[in-house]
Amino acid sequence: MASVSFARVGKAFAGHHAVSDVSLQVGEGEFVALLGPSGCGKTTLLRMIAGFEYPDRGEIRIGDELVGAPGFSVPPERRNIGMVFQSYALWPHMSVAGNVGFALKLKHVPRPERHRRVAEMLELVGLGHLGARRPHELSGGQRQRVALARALAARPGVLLLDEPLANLDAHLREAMQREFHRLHRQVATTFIYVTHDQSEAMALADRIAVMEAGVVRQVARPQTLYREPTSASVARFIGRGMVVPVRVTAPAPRPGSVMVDLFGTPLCVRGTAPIGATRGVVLRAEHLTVVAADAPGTIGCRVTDLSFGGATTLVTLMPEGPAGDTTELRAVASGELPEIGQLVGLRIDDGWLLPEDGDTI
Amino acid sequence: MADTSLSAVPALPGRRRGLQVDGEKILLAVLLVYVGLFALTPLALLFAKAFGRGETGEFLGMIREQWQSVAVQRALWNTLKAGALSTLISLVIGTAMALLVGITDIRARSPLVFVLLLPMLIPSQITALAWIEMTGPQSPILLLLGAAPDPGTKNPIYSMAGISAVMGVEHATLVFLTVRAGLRRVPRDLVEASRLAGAGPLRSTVSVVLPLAGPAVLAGAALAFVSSIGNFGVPALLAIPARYPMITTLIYQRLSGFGPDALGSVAALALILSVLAAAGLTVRAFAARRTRMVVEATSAILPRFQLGRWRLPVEAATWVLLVLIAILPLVALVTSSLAPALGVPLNGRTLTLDNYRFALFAEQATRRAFANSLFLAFATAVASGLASVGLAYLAVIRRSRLARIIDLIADAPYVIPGTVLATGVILTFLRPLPFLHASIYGTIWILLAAYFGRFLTLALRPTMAGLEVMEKAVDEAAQVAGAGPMRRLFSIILPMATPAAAAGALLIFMSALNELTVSALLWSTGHETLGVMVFSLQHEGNSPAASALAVAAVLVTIALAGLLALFGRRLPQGIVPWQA
Ligand SMILES: Nc1ncnc2c1ncn2[C@@H]1O[C@H](COP(=O)(O)OP(=O)(O)OP(=O)(O)O)[C@@H](O)[C@H]1O
Ligand SMILES: [Mg+2]
Repeated sequence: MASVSFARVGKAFAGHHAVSDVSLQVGEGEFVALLGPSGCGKTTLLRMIAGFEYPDRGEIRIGDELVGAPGFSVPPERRNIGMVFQSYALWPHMSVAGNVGFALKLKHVPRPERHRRVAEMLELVGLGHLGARRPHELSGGQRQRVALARALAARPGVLLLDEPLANLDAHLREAMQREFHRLHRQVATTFIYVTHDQSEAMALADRIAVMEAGVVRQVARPQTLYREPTSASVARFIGRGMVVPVRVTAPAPRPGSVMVDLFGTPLCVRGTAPIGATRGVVLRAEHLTVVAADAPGTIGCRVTDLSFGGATTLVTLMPEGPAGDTTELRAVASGELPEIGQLVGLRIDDGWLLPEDGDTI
Repeated sequence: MADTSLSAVPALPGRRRGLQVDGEKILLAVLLVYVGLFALTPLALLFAKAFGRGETGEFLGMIREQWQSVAVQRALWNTLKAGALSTLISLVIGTAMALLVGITDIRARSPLVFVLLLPMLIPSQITALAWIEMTGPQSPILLLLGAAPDPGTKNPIYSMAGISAVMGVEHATLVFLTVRAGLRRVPRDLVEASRLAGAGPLRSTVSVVLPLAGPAVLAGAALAFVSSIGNFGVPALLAIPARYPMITTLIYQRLSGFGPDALGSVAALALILSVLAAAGLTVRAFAARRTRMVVEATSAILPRFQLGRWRLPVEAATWVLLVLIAILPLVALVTSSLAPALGVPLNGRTLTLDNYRFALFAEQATRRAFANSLFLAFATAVASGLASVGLAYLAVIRRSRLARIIDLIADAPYVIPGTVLATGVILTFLRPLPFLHASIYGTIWILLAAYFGRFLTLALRPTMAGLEVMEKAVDEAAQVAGAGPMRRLFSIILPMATPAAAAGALLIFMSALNELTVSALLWSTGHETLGVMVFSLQHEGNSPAASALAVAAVLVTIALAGLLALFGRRLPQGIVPWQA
């Protein structure tokens, strides 16, 4: 396994900055997901690790070796990496075993050893019996496994995966997610995994790098990303957080918390800030509860919409009062439901105060 | 822009430079030499010669002398006249057939299309020979009808009208194919809207379909024109006996009469021909752009208009025309090949295979010609197939800019008239080759050099098309697996590009086997080709033997076409030219 590091890497296509000023360290054996909306530069970043694109600025290293810098690039075939392509890109004229064994053949691994390793790899992905088939004789999920086995066969230091599950149906996707998890523990290789599906990233990755418009906004463990986003955009992107501007009013009794004023109601939120500062507070629907209209310590709201979602129902609310008419809030309700137009109280169980440079709105 | 050209990736400093990188450079160098030697140099030398000083040392003397020569002016005028008339004939037949096949409910569409595409399989000189046999005093068909001209009178096909008719019929296929493709791009909603607006089938065709297909018709006509001014097979067999000089025959007669001494004046003639061809191709390119602008791809096929009670009469008229222009000449050719001697009526007792025996076995020269043509066609097909895989790989997958330029140049020797290329090839290879210290002029190798230049594009187009639709990740996956560029070329690209390249190579084999235009200027005794043999046998007055040889050649070609059709079914669309 090998580490990967980006130091202030930038890449532009015809003047358009696909990736700008990205610094990122991926540790040995780590599973890092690159997460972000379509067109944010995930694939470009991944292809720079592989060596298919060259950075205009900055440096890329695999392990200690410099592999990419402006005007300098180690060709992909000498980087000792594996890659799973979104389309799988299996070679149609080779059998499954031929696909998996190709890289070993190039490394002049002797034939018996090669056969053993190919069989082992196919066994690893549960396709031990299909070595003689051609790619077109496989189902989508099986092709995916072959692509995985092929990418891992030469024991690469880093495995790159570009939206490997995008072409599979929901069931298969879940099964493959477990597979990736197991494989990662088993093969001890660094995984870098591109996706725009946050639940996938959350479920799989040790750390997630959230990208937006060519920039890495935050790199953190999934729980941290959810609980303590550092910017409004990450808060909104991960788990559809709501960001509301507030003023810090007083220190809170609990350490690491402060009191803020939210729509005229005092509220204790996690985070630190000097008294009097204006910041954004991140609220999540799952921490908001609809209660009786005049319950103490709640915010008075009017219900504007209900959206049934199975076990729970999403309630859209508009806070009453002068500041309220511009901000919509969402709360999760189960059990007895309010009616549209009804006046209710909103209890807030948790909130996170964005740090100072976390672009408020 | 993603600069992924090869030069953008310097090798690691201080590291052993991989052999693979060098392999790629060697490949590029080989291709550069291939196209440079067989395509670029001939054309460059030709233009240099044509723009050179004349005998009096005057600036641009060559061109001026030729331009002012009465013989040249006459040949040019004749070429334009015959070209225009034949284009008109192609236009009418090709467009009418494309409309009938494309937008009416005419029956037996497949045999109809097959007959319309026959000219693609039958080389010009053989078509001309077939027409001679059909319209002459010996014509089995006219004799049967009692309408043959009196023996001793001149065959009416030896005339401007005859030349234009044969070329017109031959090139109608080009118009047919272009217009049919154009009709496919006309969106059906537009036609349906016109029907709802109250237009009948005829009115819809005239007011909506034809205007939208207009650019395609123009493109087809331009292509037919370019083909007819560059045609040599038909004028060789018809215009020379008719004493109707045209530019291509003038070039041929000067070169075969005066040899390399005539190269200067011939180069100037070739230049005039190239300018005409370039004008035609410009019109075509312009029209083709217009077609693309009309609509984006639509998949729906145009609604087929019902011919109603006119269906049977229209079908009958169509088949009468097609039998007349496409089938009867071939029948006449076959009959003449079976006749014992000129003027002997053919019946069950006189029928003989002697001509075949003579043409295929007895005559030394034709046996040689068969061997030569097979060798040339095979070598050209294999070399072009391999070269196109390498070039397509560098141009499409490796995105080498130089390879893209080579690809563009490779088209030129095919789109210019064959006589022009042949002249350039003589200019290139007349002088002794650098390391060989001998000239290949007058050997079979000069034919091979000309064929290499002429036909490369026929394999290159399908191979490029095949790689363009191939997913680039397949190559990248091999790269990640550790394969260098040359390794990927052999292990990944070659197997995947083989079907398309092989189809192209087969197409080359068919075309090269019957090649006449280029060979006629480059052959020498002992190095004849099949096309040249048919031409000379006819010239010597042995038309039964010429017919027999022609029939044999056509049979081989049709067999190859069958093979290609079988093969083509497994290929992506647009690779085999006559596949819909
Ligand atoms: N070869 C290229 N030439 C020009 N622009 C490119 C090229 N590759 C990517 N881009 C541009 O760079 C930006 C980032 O592209 P990239 O493919 O990295 O996005 P992505 O995050 O992978 O998106 P998706 O989730 O849709 O795959 C996009 O705006 C894209 O249009
Ligand atoms: Mg992508």
